[in-house]
Amino acid sequence: MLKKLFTIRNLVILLLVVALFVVSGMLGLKVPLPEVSIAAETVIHLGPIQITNALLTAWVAMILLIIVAYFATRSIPKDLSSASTGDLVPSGFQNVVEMLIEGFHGMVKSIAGHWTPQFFPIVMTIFLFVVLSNWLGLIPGFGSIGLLEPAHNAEATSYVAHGAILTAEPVHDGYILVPFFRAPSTDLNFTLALALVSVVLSQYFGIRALRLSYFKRFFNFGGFKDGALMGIAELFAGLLEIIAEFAKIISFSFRLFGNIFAGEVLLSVVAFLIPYIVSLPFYGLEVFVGFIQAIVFMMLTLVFFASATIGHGSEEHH
Amino acid sequence: MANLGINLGFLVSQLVNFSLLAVLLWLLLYKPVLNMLNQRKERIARSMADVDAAREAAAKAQQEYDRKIAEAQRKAQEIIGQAAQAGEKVGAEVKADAQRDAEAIRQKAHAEAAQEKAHVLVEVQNQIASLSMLATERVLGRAIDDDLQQKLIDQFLAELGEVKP
Repeated sequence: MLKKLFTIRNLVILLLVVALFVVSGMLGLKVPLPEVSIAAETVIHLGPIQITNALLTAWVAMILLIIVAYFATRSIPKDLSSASTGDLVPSGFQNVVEMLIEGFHGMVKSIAGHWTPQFFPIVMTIFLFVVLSNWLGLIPGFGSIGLLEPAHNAEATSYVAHGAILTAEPVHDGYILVPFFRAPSTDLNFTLALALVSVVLSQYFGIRALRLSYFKRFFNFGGFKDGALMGIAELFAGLLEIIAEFAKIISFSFRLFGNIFAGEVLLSVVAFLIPYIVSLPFYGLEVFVGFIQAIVFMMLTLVFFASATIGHGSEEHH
Repeated sequence: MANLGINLGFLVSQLVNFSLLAVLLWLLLYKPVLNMLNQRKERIARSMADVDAAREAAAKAQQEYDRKIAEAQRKAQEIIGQAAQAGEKVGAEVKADAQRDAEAIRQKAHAEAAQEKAHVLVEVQNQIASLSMLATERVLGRAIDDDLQQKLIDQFLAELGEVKP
């Protein structure tokens, strides 16, 4: 076991790593502590219209997804019923996308039942959009290439710029980096928009499935049949349901934002402390977290949709 | 809210982004892929059914074939049996005919032989009689009258008959 580790290749890698530390120490290359900005920064000013880096990255993610969609469906014949059987044989990339869609479709179907055609496009888009925007932030250059702008306020730490490169020397009237791209999930506008989509659509599906009786979930006077106490209890439960719907918006948006934003801050802090190698396991962790958060967002949306379309639990007893 | 970076304009633009993406992906990705998966599933089910039907038909054909072969064998056996029987019968008939003919020929030959024998016997008797007459005449030197002759012949024949039954 130990013998296998001491191969020539590994020794070369070890030497390179040591050389990297020595050279960067000699040149005084240090990673500046990144400007942690909760709000997405504006990178493009078009008169009154401002475009933030998160919005720009969301467009990149959309374009990437559409390119994927194009290449995955390129060889699917237009007229399926008259296509020869050989044309239906998938190959390469199409196979991967098909597997993904079929897998998720089966999972949505097992939860949503006959609502699958309505739910599937929404939750699948949530998953793809979120997972891609989480992972985009991990690509080197995202968050580290951008515009150098003078510090907005004097209290914030800013750094001396060496040509186009920001050094790690903090000064008071230096520059801060405004990256061109920023993972959309680290912008609350993005996560809040998705949370609103999820919660508002679950109300819509609930009303569509149960008509007016959907509102009994929030304003339930049925409890008064069993006495005033039960009636008040049911009304209070309805009030809690209303609060829960708003809490969902907050929990949805801040869960995704918090996880991904914290992940990126963690990666930059680790890179600031020890510039090389050490951040690798954290990268692996962030890839995993990005995937899990996308799955969580999608599954919760799906479950809320599904529970909105079936009657309230106590409804069925009476 | 502003500290958190929440801004109505950006929020709305992200909402629009998501809606646009959902619609585009539905049209460009989910619908064609799901349709094709369905179509493929259908075709596989259909071809499986076809395979089953073909297998069933083949089994049926095999059964039919086996049945026909057995039938043909049975018929062939029957025909061979019949032929053998007929052959035997014909043989027996021929044999019986031959035997009968042979018998008839034998009988006829027998009868003819007996007749011939009798005829020859009579002739021989007559010749013996006339020869003995001649001999007697010669011995006696004279003709004997018919009465005597007859008497002698009869006597001779009687003796002859005694000697040779």
